[in-house]
Amino acid sequence: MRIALRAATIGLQVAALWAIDGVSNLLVAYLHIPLPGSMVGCLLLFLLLSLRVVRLAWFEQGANWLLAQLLLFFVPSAVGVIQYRHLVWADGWRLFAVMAIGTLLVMGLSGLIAERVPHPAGLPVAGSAAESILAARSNSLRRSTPPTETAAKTPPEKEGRQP
Amino acid sequence: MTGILYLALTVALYFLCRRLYMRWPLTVLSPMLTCPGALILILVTAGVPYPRYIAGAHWLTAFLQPATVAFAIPLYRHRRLLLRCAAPIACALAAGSVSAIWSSFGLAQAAHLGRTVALSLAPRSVTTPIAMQISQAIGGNPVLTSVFVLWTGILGATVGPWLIRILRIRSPIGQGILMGMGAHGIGTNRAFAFGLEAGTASTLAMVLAALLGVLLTPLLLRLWP
Repeated sequence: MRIALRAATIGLQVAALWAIDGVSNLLVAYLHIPLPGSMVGCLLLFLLLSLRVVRLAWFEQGANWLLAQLLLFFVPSAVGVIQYRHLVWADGWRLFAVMAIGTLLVMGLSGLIAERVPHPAGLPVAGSAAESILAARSNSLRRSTPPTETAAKTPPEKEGRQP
Repeated sequence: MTGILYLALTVALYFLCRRLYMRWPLTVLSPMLTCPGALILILVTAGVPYPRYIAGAHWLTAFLQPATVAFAIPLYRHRRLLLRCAAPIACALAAGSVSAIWSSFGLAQAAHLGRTVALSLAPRSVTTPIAMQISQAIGGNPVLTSVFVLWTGILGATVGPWLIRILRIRSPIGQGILMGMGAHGIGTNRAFAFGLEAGTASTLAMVLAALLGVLLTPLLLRLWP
């Protein structure tokens, strides 16, 4: 019974996310926005949450379920490589080398920069700014500490290892 | 009718591969490698053409739409942390986007892969639907781009955790940015396994890299000597 209820909740919330996607697709078509509808939908939902038009609890379980199964949704596209067998046979190794070197470069560069560039919390700040930063920090700590309900549910791949 | 069969086969194989990975958590057994690998083997052996397979399996791809919208949830949850780290995130994403576009195009030219392939490779570090759009705009082949994007994601999500160890990236923000910038949605999925903060940073990197990609790719390719 509880499983059925949970499944129904997830189903409804996924449908709600799909509805937002539909609205965004219409917006994109109508306003000629040069971005895919789903991306605009992501920004739209963020905006609606920030303005407190909608509540986090209305989408949370559905969103967690979708993000946990994300890899499954990519599988059919990954199989699409079989359409380009001739290219893979002819240039496979060179393609692989280009993608591997490029990916290592991009990842290493962005990771190191994000790690090394200081953020304001590390600098001395005075007055209200410091207060707001401290508040943000305690807030983010509170949000990310486990045994809150969502933190326990969210990790899509529990089996993943810590680097 | 057979479409439903391929859909069921994909889902069944996916959960089987996940089970396998939970039993033996080795990188080579990760479901993002084993599941497409096994499917490709089955389809090629059985001589099934891709259009017949995708006729059923495209229902799974459709779920990517609400899933992309769902990324707003972790972003909203950690908005304060992300705002606090705005400076390093902005610098990292700018460097990441420029190096992604130029390295793909430049290396492809150096490897004599041909102009269409090089242009199709340029937007490969951006999430699939946007990368396809960029590819179309700059004169690449969007379908080929989607294949490169997917395999970049798989490659990046596989080497990412290893790179994080080698470069000793300790902050969840750094780890997340690395995964999201280099391997978009697939890397983000992996980053959530490190922790919520890393996953959220990765989500932000993915979303912003897509926006930057739309703006920068045509410009940077014009600047290419």
